[in-house]
Amino acid sequence: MNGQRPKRTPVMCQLANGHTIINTGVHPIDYFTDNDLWADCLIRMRELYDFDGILCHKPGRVHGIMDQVERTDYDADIPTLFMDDGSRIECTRDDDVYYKPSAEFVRPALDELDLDNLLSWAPKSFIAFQASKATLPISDPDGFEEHVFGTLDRVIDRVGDDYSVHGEVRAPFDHFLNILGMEEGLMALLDDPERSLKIIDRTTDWSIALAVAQIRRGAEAIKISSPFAGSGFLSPDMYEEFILPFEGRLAKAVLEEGKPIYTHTCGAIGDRLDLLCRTGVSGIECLDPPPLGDIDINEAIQSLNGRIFIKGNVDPVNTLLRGDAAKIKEDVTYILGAAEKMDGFILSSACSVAPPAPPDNMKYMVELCREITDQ
Amino acid sequence: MPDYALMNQFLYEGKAPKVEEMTREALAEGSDVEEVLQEGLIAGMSVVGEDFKRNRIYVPQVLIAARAMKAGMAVLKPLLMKQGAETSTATIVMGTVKGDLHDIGKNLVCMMGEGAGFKMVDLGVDQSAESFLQAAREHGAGIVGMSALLTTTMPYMKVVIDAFREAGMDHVKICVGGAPVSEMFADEIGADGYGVDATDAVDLFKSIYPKDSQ
Repeated sequence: MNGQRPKRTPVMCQLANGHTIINTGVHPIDYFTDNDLWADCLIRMRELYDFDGILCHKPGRVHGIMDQVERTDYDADIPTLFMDDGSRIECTRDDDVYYKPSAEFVRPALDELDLDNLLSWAPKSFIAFQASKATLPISDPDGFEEHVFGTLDRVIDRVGDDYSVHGEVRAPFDHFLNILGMEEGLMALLDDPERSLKIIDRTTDWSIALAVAQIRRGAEAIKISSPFAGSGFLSPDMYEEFILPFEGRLAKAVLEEGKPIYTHTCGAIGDRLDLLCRTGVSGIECLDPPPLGDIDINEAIQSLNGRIFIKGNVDPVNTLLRGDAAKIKEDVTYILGAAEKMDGFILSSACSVAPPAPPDNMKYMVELCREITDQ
Repeated sequence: MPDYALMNQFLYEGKAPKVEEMTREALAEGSDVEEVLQEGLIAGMSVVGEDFKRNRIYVPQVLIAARAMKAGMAVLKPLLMKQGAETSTATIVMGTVKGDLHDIGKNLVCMMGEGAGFKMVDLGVDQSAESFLQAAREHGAGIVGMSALLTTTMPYMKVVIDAFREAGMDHVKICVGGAPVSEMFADEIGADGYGVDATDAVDLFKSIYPKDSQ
């Protein structure tokens, strides 16, 4: 990722939070709130699997979130933060964190949103929770407070000289859906495309500011988390209208900072590889193979024709979670065989490594990659 | 005679106020409730399902069509209940399994299922085996549909299936789906069917709904 051709094919994966929690044995509330602990977890997981890099998928934990907590149930099956506005944040022991709003929580309709303050309607716990997911309504890379980058800074300080540390931002469309809600957001694209575009344009500013700020703090690359831009959700035409111009603007801003940027879009994306390339990103992550998606790595390499790098595409469910050694070997050999035909390939799980994926499977994938590409 | 082709078109385009208006007009003209349901709403939704399956339309279009169908159904429902039509409708209980809060796939299946004429009982997210059992009993459901997006929650599908077997409710067919779920996994856990997406799930319901329950 530093612009030099690596001696061997690098390996690094995006790990589900649950996978890290399970394999580090930390408490999920501490994991959700403590920058030191989380940075330590990210570094330990890299060591466990001997990855060539670390994805710091959020820049840091939310400063002062515990000031909003009225009560903590630390020992429950699902440890929970009970917020002072009646909502709660559930920190699961084997998965992600979930926001459970209070009974009064109502999302605004599209025409009720204040375009100049898209979160003006939201309770403070929701704003804090969205901040924990890197939805920060700040449009100036210099406008963030230091604590926002509490985890990224620690990881870079500790291992940035030895390993490639990547930052991540939510895609502009992802912010949009999180403000309006999934179904209302998707319908809004048809109900009022003009207003939807205006909102996505503003959330693009948020993504750009956070991406650029992370680069300036030492992140080697930026990943765009764009899980809802695949054909499971949007048509290619809608991709062209609601995704491409905005992820394109984001890509341009990061490239102007001199670092690469890549997109992670889950599921079936075979019909939009060209559109993805047209955003101007440096690479694509994921490329889920069947049955999760529709990508055959050989076909994808042929279609992309060296235009951008690929980070993928070992099936995280049927190979890394449920597969045996023979299945892992078969897939890794096939993928690396295909990747021989191109520059710019990082071996990785396609989508995130599932929480219960056996660590031995992960280690075997890395070992095989070293064996095959060190030759 | 109502212009059902136009009503289908409005539904397809997601024009909820138009669908609602035409539903009211059709009833005011004396059309049979069941006819309006079948010809005006279900026929329109079946085109939506077909086109979704063939990637001619995508989730947003399905959602606005389902919203239009709902507008028409809101007019018809009181009358259908008065006629007792609902008691003879094939019933499907749907939910995401315990620990899983991701519901768009399940919601789409409910919308498409209703659009195909099934009575969909949506339990919502994070449902235990006991909830599925209780709802299946209460509503006399012939099928239970479960959805999971997470690899951590998909094993719970087997817990639900085992609970139905232990309760002697083998006559209820269990269908599963969700991003990490595959046909192979469905077979392994003893599910009666697997739907790769919402339209596939509805096709599955049509093919396996217990004949003696219809």
